[in-house]
Amino acid sequence: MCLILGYRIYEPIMKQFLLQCTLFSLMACSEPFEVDRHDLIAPRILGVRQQNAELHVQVWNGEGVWHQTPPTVEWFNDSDEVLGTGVHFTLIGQVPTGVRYIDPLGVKHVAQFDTEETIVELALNRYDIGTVNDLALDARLDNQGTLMEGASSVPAMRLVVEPSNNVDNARIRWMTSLGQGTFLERSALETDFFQENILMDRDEVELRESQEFDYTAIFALMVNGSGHNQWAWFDLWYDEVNTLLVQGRHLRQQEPVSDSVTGQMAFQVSVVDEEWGIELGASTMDLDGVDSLDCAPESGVFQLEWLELGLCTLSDIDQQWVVLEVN
Amino acid sequence: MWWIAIATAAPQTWHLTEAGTDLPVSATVLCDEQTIQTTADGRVTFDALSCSTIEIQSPYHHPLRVSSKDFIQMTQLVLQPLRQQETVLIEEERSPAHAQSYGLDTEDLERTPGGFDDPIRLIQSLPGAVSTREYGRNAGDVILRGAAPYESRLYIDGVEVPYLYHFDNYASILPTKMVDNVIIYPSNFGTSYGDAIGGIVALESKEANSDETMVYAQANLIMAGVQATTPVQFGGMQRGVLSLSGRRSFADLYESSNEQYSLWPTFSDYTVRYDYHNSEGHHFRWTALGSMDKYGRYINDADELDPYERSVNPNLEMNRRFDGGVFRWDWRSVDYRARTSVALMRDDWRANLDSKMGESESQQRLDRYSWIRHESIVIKERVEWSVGFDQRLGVVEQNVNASQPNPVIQSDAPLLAQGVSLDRQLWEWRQGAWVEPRFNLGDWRVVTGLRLQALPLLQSAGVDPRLQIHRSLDWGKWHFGIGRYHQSPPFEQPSLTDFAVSDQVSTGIEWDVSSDVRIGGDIWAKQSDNKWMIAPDGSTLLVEEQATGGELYLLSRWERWTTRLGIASTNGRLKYQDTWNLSPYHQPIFVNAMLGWQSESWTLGARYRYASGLPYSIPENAILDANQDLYLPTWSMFPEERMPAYQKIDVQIARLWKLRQSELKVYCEAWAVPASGNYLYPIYNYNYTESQLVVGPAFVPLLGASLER
Repeated sequence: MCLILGYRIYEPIMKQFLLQCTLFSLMACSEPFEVDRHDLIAPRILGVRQQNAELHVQVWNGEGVWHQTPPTVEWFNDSDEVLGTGVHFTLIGQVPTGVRYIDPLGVKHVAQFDTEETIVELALNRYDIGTVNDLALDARLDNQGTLMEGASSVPAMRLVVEPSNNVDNARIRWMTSLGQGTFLERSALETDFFQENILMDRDEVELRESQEFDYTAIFALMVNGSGHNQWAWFDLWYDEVNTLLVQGRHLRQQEPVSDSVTGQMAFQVSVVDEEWGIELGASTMDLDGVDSLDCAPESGVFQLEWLELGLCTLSDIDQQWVVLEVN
Repeated sequence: MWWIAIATAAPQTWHLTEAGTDLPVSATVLCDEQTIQTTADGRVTFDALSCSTIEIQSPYHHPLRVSSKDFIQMTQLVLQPLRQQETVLIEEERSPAHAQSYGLDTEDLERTPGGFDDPIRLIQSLPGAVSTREYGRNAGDVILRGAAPYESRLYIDGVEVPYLYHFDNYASILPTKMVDNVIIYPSNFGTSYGDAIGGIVALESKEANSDETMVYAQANLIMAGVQATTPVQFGGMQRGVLSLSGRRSFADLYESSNEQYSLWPTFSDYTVRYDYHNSEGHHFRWTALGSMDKYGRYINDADELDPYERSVNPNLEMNRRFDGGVFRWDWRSVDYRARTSVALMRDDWRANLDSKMGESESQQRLDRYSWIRHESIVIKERVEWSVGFDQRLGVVEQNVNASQPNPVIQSDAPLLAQGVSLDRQLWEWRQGAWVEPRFNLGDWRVVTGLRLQALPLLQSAGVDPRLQIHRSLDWGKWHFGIGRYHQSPPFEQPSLTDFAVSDQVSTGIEWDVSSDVRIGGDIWAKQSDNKWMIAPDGSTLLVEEQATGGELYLLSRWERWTTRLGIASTNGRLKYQDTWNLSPYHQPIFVNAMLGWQSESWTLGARYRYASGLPYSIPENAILDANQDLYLPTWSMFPEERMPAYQKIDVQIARLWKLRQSELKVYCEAWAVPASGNYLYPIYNYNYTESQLVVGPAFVPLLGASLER
């Protein structure tokens, strides 16, 4: 990538002359970095939010959306005094201003925050935008695409996050697990997502090659600069698999459940692997024999965010029966 | 019969006048051992035949030396005046008041490659100045003997100016044709300068030719300008010379904006100068000067953003200008000289940051100050007394509306970058006064003095004793300087109240190999305490500094050839909290070599520079600001890494055509930077875990032309 130092000129005759005489050479160049902020690769803190008088921290453990072990987290104040541990912090007494995540390799990651209570749900709509040749923003904005139903994805989609209520100055920071695919954002709450590796130098396409992957998890982080933070994970399936929509996520299931089924159901959950995470196995409408897991902070319906945050680990849930809310 | 002639010769009266103006000249006539002073109206009466040779000396004119036989046949004695640059540079050569100085005259400024039609750029070609890479973070900074840029004072015609460079150090605020000379005093300067623990850069604007009207127009691919001078006459009598200068960049005329700039960088400057000499040797000068810089830029690097992010990239509009009026009075007689500068300056620095995601933020910094400096030199037979004072009195109004720190606009709008709202008025008042006897003891010249540096508002003061010794030898000169230097704390940081103090020593020799070749060398050392340093995170640290270094140089002008060679070393370390750290201006080796050739029609020149890369701070860690999803780096307070060595080759070629009534000059300058050192500055990825060095332009040409009529 190159930027012109001071002067950048286009267009004919005089400008071309000037360009050739002196300005063509006033360029500073740099190579793209290996990892950009959209790529979830190395461990890091993804976000901090406040809801229901609790602080939550979402970390990326470097391996996948789900956790093998609970993340090691410390909440601290301005004096670096540790006020609590764990991915949840109940706001009673002193309010922390920072959080520290010690990743599985022992590396410390720190975030500072000044959050506000935020109760908002994030939903994702996907639109098939077909084949996109021109990647410039103006051209992409003209292509609204077709709303997609079901769980399967296509190579080029417009992703739109719809908050359940308005948050001033909200914008979405998009991330993709293991750096799969490429985001080209469109507006504060929407992006185009390509199953490709795309490298652009401003509006010039430097590299464009398709990628092969069956699944990726998308992390949509909403921030507004004033501490109204919220996030959600979404699943993009490129393989023909059976999925069930549970709490906004398309979870893979061994045997399809009737589309008409909604409400609470019990499932036996098995762990497939780090990347795909869990799979729903046998199911039943009889919830009486299903106990809450030890890792669950409260009884009742199992919340997938407990797995996402790391309150519950893959080993906690493997081969266990849990009650899920089916959308 | 010769004795009869002597016996019968009667004293005669001559009238001394100045060439060009016919003004009477006050001078000293040396008739063998006899010294005769002219009257104020230039008359002298003596017996010319009583001596074999006669020499007429005037501080303002070239000496006139003739035999008595020729002398008595002259009906009118016309002295050629020294040009202003000759006065300044020759004085510094003949009667130095500072341990060491390095200067560039008009010819140097026009002929040294690498200036790109910019005189102040060439300061870095002088020994004692640290070399910085073009477009790098320190590009164009004046770093003298390892001192930070803000530790040196910059003067134009004896007046402190707010800044010397336009946009991003792209061009200096005075065109080459308006600059008479630039002198730097890299350290161990005399007591007539002060409030600086670094060095002094003194730039003198050019006095116009009083003989005729001249117009000079010049343009290159970046800017164009016109300078004009004309004698001013009232009632048939010449009443002075008027000089006008104006320049403007013009790239904005054919490019309005792009993804990096919302408002194309525009800069301009002007100078209006009126000179008047009266018959008593007084030289009055009124100057109005000003500079304007304006641009709008999207603050985040467009190359690092995707198309939507670029569309909401916050836009910063920066508008800065200063205007000033300067009155200067010079007066010289045989035994007294006075120089007074009085100025009023206004520096208005505004910036608006318009975020499409939030509220707009702004800064206005309005600095209005007065400046006065007076120096009187009383010349006795064996001693000159320099006494004087300077004062800067002003007020700065800071009005900032900001919500959060924004380091990426630090150089555009430093107050706004700090992210703290302000509405305050700060007064600045600093004074200096000095007494400096300069003893001339045969081959020895001993300059000793005391300078008082005071801050009346803080009721604090510091005393600087200084000593310089110069000795003329058969083969050249030796000099030595030692002294103490105080510098006031930055008045825009009221929490800092103590002076920075530096003790400095230097010595060196100059060997005049021949009338065309001079070789010299200096070594120097500094110990500074309570010196403030702006850390990478914007905080101010008080540090101790130890620095040493040296310079070797060769100057040669032989027929059509000009050669300059300089080798310098600057080594500095900073102590903070009992730990020694590398200075950001530590440059162990800097080589600067220039070769020029000139004929009546052609000027050719080449310059080569090799310099150690300057050290820089690195991000040691980065903290996520979860409210913004933005990583904030924690920088090492002191440099941990060093830029690669820098090499640069400059070439200049100019062709001059003498037309019927004018001269046309077309020139081309170009620089080339070898790939091994062609790096500008480090950049980092989103969370500062990866870094790389930005590669700079390898070849940059500049074409230009001028017409003088």
